Amino acid sequence: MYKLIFHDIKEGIIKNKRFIAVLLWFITFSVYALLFPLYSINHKDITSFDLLLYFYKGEDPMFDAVLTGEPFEFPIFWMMNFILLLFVVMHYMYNDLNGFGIQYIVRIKKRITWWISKCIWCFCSCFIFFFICVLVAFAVTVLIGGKTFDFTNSYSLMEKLANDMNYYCMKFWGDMEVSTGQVIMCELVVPFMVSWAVCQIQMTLTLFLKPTVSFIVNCAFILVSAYIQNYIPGLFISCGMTLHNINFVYEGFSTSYCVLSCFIAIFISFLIGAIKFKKYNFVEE
Amino acid sequence: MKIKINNINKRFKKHDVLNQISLDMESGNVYGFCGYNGCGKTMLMRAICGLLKLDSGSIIIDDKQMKKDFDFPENLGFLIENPAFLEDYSGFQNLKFLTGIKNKTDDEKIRDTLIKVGLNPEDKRKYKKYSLGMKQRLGIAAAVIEEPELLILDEPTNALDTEGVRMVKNIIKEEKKKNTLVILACHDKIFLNEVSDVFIEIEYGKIKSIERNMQNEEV
Repeated sequence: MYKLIFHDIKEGIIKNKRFIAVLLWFITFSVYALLFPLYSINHKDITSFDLLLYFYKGEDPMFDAVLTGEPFEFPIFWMMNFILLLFVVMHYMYNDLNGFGIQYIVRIKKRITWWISKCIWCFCSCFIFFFICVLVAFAVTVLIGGKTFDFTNSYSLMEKLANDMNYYCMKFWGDMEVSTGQVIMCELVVPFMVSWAVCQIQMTLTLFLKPTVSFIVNCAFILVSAYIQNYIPGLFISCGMTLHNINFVYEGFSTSYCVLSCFIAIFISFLIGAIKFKKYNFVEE
Repeated sequence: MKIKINNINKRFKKHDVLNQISLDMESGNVYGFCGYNGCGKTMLMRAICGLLKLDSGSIIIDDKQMKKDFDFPENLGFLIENPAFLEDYSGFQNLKFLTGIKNKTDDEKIRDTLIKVGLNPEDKRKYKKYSLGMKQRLGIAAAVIEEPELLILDEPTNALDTEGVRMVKNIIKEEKKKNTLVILACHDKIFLNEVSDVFIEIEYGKIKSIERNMQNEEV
């Protein structure tokens, strides 16, 4: 099993040139954030987690934007984080399944072992994706002379967000007393969990559909999630919008709800994949 | 080794690719499958390899039922359609990696097998730089290197030159001597005639005829 995992990490992560796109994306996103939305904030006050918050903050929910009469701003940057991750993991499993993987699976004898290995690879891919994201956030704050190892959000950013957002239940910035633990959970762990769940779903879908089709289905899933701010089972992806967290809005998602719904989605997806893979035909129908 | 195929069926998009196939095969024989393109030869081989989920019927190998008692046959060597290997590895490295899964062979054996299929073990070229014929030879090497009890070769002579075809014949004869059960599909009837003990003709996913090759037995 461990040999297969090492093989997947080597072929699917180390040799996956798409991770370079991830690095470029987060660098571009950071430069954009510093030049435009965060321009008015003294860059020396900016913490690494301010940048992480900016990467995954999202936008006002569509329905609430309608209620407040404000225009809905499409969460392009937020969506790009997930779409890019899906793009990074899109083809590896499918190509392996229809290529070298057959040589491997026949030798290891157990279909389930292969599936577990791919799920571990999926987790590792998300982990590397986030590692690059955090690395860029830290590197950028070092470069601008910000607070690199401050695991909180700066008051200036919170004030700006509270003033900028039109969301009717957005907390007054003075009420946003978020502890370091909560910051790490809702700005790092929750987006990571959501990304992992999305990737796991993408992988399971690839057992039923072609990778490009499952990618499109998943993108549509992300798009629909961007419009809601309700506890709708299955549409947990909006948990990945940090500003929809209860730490920032009065009726937001609780961190435990987000983590739990992601775990459930991952588990169900793993289970469906395992059942499907047990009966999978190694042939392009 | 004994393989008993009981009335297996497989349908893809309203098309019967395997239709009520029943067959018994045993070690020490070479079974040659022939039939037109798309008649179901490769699908049958995939089914025996455990790569297909059958709609009905069963495949029993040494009294154990596939999918119930095991996912893939023990000691299987196979070459189905275009072999796929790691693009950035040389032939030697690919075989080393594959045999490393079971840890059954050493470097010497890998070298011998590569020489046997006409490849140079010292060749450092990556697989992606290989010609079609070289890829096919490496596919054959991967199929036989672990001394399988069941060897499945689908169109093994594809992309091979005359010397390559001779090499495949020798390998099949050698495997037969080792009491391996060899299942072979090939569009070249002359080739099949030379190496097979039993001819099986497939048509529309069904077995059309089974014939013992008397010529080969006499030899």
